[in-house]
Amino acid sequence: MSLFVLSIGFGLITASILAIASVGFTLQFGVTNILNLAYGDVMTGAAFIAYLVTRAGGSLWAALLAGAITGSLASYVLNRFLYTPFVRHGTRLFGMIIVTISVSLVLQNGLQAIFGASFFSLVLPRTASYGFAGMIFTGQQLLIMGIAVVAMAVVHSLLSYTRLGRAMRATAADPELARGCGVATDRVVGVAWLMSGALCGIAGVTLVMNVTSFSSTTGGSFLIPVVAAAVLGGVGHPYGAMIGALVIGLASEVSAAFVNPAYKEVVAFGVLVVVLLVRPQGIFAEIATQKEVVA
Amino acid sequence: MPTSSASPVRPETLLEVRGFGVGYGGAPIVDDLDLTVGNGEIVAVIGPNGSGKSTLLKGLTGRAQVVHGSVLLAGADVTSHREDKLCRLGLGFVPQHKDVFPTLTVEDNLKMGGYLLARSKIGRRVDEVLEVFPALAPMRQRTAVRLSGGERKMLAIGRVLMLEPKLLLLDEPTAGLSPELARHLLHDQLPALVSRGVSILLVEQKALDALTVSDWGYVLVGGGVQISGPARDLLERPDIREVFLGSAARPAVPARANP
Repeated sequence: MSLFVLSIGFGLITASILAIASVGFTLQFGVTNILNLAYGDVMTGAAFIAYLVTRAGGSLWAALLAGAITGSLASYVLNRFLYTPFVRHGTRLFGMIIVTISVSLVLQNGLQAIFGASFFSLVLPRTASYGFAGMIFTGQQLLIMGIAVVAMAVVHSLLSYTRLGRAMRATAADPELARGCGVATDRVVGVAWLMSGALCGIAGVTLVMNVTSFSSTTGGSFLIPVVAAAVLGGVGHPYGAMIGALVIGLASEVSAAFVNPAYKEVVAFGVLVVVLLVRPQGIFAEIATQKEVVA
Repeated sequence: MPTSSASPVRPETLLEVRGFGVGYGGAPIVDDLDLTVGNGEIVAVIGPNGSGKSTLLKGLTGRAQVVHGSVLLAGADVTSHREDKLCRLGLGFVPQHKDVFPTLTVEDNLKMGGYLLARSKIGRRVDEVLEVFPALAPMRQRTAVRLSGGERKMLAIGRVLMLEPKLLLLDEPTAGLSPELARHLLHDQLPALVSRGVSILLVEQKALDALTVSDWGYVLVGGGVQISGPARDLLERPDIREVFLGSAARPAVPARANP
């Protein structure tokens, strides 16, 4: 029983990191319909910048900020100077997926070339542990959960109460019609990449805050549960991604307490497969019939 | 180019399209097309399938590539402008398909149409637009996907009216409507819009009905203007009646007089 409760605690931490990552992933996908499989590697890039900041003596907050800015700028630049030209030249859904896979490979190997094929850890102060109802968290893990809650609240307020949020939702629903209402969709797309990138960067930093060590492949292998969470919630729907993150995070950690933890990702995959069986239209069917890439 | 004799004087030009060529990368579909819409006019563009009617509208709204020519709206060059710019300049486009946000309510569709308005003005403008289409007023909270074809088209026009456009581009607004509703839209709604100060460029399959409510007509063939003239003159021409309208067709309502 106590192992079960303990694992729920781990699940909540994983769910928090997943939520930040998958909301960012789905926010950008919802607006642009570009399935950016380089997302995990941008997370890794942000983590390395955060690593450099902490090693230079910067605080954790400075590392988080640097990670967010790195993710934001990297995503914006990727879209502006790589994805958009491809879209303008007529590359469509599946072609764009191949382009993002190529970017993923280049980023991953580029990071390895720069930093080497070894393992790294953020330089973080030791913090006390806190117990809650049988769950134990470090101060940093509480911080991760706090960041997730704040990030979700910010995304929610932005989408629900601002003009930009309305423009983003309209662009996601129908870019041409949104343009007809006066929405400058190219600017909205740029903002979506910036926002998604900031979440991506924060997710990358929180991910490596929670592990003993990371390498150039850490973010890339985290992409599977991120996509699983986004798909589970209905891809393109930020609130769905939050729910999806909670389900995938809890399922993978609780299962890890009872079966070999090496199967965590198998569980994430398993949930994804079951969801696709229950929702047979699946992610690509919806895109192919209704939507097209936007840049 | 044959045109109708004794052309009446047209009102001051609002939209002027000169030497227009539009395509999709290959040979232009619309080529060397001239067209004008005057203030307060309803201008019909008719023509058989494949004559370039849709391509013309796509060129005017920045959805297809303009290869040559120019578009002036109230004197300002708007060639190749995309719709988010055009609607700021007073041009409202109602596409044939995907003309409303299906998952939003009537009210939210109209509010989205008023995206460029100050927040404090949106509510009042929604009420004003619902006065133009009173049939929609009781359906404010209904999701657009649950509207009938006619209601949906009124909503689509209403969404565009939110920004008080000077010129409306309507792409086959009666497609998919019953003959009854189509007639109501063309014969009652469009003149009512004109009386509120809107000019209309109407692209229609239903050539007879379109010409009947219009001041001026353009007949498109093979991507260019084959014939243009006052709509009632076009309706009288036996060759046009024969080719485009069917020789037995007769206008149900006399053509509008030129203002």
